[in-house]
Amino acid sequence: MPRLRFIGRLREILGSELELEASSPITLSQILEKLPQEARRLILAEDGRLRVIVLVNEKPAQGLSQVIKPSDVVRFVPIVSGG
Amino acid sequence: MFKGGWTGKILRVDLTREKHAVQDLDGEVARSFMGGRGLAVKILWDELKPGTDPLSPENKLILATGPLTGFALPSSGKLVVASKSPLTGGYGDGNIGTRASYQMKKAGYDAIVVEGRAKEPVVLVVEDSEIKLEKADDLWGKDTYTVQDELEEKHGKEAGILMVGPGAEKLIRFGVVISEKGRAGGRPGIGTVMASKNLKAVVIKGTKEIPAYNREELRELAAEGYKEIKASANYDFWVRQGTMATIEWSQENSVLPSYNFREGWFERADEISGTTMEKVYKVAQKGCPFCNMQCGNICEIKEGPYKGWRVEIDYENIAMLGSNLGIGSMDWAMTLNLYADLQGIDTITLGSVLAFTAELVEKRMLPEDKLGLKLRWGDGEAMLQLAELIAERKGFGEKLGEGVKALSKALGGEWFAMHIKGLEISAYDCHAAPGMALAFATSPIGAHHKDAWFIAWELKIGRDVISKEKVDRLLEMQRIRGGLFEAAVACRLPWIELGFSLEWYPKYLKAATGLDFTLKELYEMADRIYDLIRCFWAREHGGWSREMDYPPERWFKEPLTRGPLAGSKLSKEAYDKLLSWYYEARGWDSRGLPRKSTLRERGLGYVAEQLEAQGMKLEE
Ligand code: SF4
Repeated sequence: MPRLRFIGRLREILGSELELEASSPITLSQILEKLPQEARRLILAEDGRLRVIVLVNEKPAQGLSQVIKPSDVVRFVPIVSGG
Repeated sequence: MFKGGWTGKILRVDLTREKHAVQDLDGEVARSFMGGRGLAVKILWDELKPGTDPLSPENKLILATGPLTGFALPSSGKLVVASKSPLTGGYGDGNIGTRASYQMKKAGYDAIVVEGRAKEPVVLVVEDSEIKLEKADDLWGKDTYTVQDELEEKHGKEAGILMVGPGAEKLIRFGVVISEKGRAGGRPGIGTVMASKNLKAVVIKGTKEIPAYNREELRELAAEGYKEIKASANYDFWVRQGTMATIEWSQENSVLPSYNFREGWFERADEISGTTMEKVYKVAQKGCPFCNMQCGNICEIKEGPYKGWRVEIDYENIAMLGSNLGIGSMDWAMTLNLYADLQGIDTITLGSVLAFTAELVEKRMLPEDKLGLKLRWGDGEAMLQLAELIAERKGFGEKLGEGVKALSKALGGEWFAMHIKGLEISAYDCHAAPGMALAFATSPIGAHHKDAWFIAWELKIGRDVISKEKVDRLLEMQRIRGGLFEAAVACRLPWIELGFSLEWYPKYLKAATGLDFTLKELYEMADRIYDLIRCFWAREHGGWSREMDYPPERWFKEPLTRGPLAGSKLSKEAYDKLLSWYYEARGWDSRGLPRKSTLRERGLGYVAEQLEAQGMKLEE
């Protein structure tokens, strides 16, 4: 059951943490497909680029095909600057 | 020679002689340094006598726009204020979103350069070609909200107004320039320089049309740009929370400065977050001219001595005056923010000075009877009392008004004095962010986030990665944030926050000026500006050493104890590697000084010659 963590607008849509129903490994892009459209639009640009930083166990994700294990924590971090 | 964008004129004002002159802007200078920060450092290099006392009449206060300022383009309503800094002794600047930006262009000037010192307090009034000095005895000593109201009443709501507050008048080293109630710029004491000239305010009104190379195209491009911004997926959230969303962001990523940057995680972060602001405190929205993604959060204070007052808040201020002081009360963080704005003193430095003092007290390095009050982490009331002593330069406040660096030299505790080159660090803790630490340490005005925000890019690359690639990305970011945006003088936030494409800017520049600039050329210009700023620092400090580009010892010495990254600290060895690569990538030597060949390549051969003529040895 990988855990997904969100902040900012994504947290408003999905809550701060989501535990996925996935007992076997799953790719990042399969995870994104399970999210509602509004959240997906914040994460992925139309050209398929990631709009946010995705960290898997605090390490940058290696792309959408990265396999996420049931024990992983995936964080979705928007790119903000604070000023 | 100018086909648009620039007005081609600089207004020079000498307050001692009560004279003014209009000077032509050199076309070559405009092409090579553009405007804003670029133009400011060029003027300071060329005209300031080395070793000038920043608070003497000889120092120059520069108010500079850029070729995009004043056109109805995304977020182009800003101007740069710059001078030799009384806080750091080096180059200092800041930008402000203000009506004064477009009014200056409409009055027919790209920049206003003020020197000398008026015999008594004055307001400089610029109405097209009519330049007047008006007496300001009745305004001197008044807070910045009152002065804004009084000057607006006299000169009209559309007038561009820049001013200093009573704190800057008392020559606190971190006085800022203030506009329109809470819009502040010039952290390294640029407001103090203005006050030292007895210049309480500048009022600017213009009636001319700003020259444009292709006005129609500019209008069309602007309309498309505005549309792109509005269509951004994150637009609504941004307008609701603005930079305040970063409190939660920094907390989640363990970079929220807490207890004088001892920690990057704060147990009461929720109480000062963007969400709390939105639910409880926000009453109105404000923005800079020409911006369609306005981020000014106007909030009302609910409790305390300033109950009912309104204050514009953003991330940096609330983090530095909240979590960094152990304050988990939005009311008290906002109260301190408001007080600093009224007094015209920098909120970030104030937060750092208060935190440093609290730690000195905690470590028994400063007896409370000497301080004159009981100071504890999280005690907003005591922090406000201390801020009042600072602003009024009373008792121990006199010393605190010199900033953290001077304070630590006098009282000890240099390893936890959170400044770089004398400028207090903005609100990102770097125990677990070596690239961000390097960004702060190489920022051209000292540790300010404007040039230095690298933290999100660093997360993307990997916080523990120590590589040349990371350094190259930092340079790229500095070229964009510190070069392009500060010289063209446009707000960087559409690009960062909403992903507004950088490709727009060469198009805007072409339509405004008629000149072709590629992004590559703009980055070369950014490097030229960075090199000249570094040379200015070296000239004023009589040389350079790499220690000047080090972050405070605390981040190397004392690991985080709270939050998910507890145990993390910086490695000196890794930092040194990054710094050496950084110097190499910039064409600077191992001391951090530009090489002669680098300066020649950037058209700054004369700068190398002047430094050498003063006895500084530069490497080839
Ligand atoms: S985004 Fe904010 S800071 Fe930038 S121009 Fe708009 S209101 Fe001003």
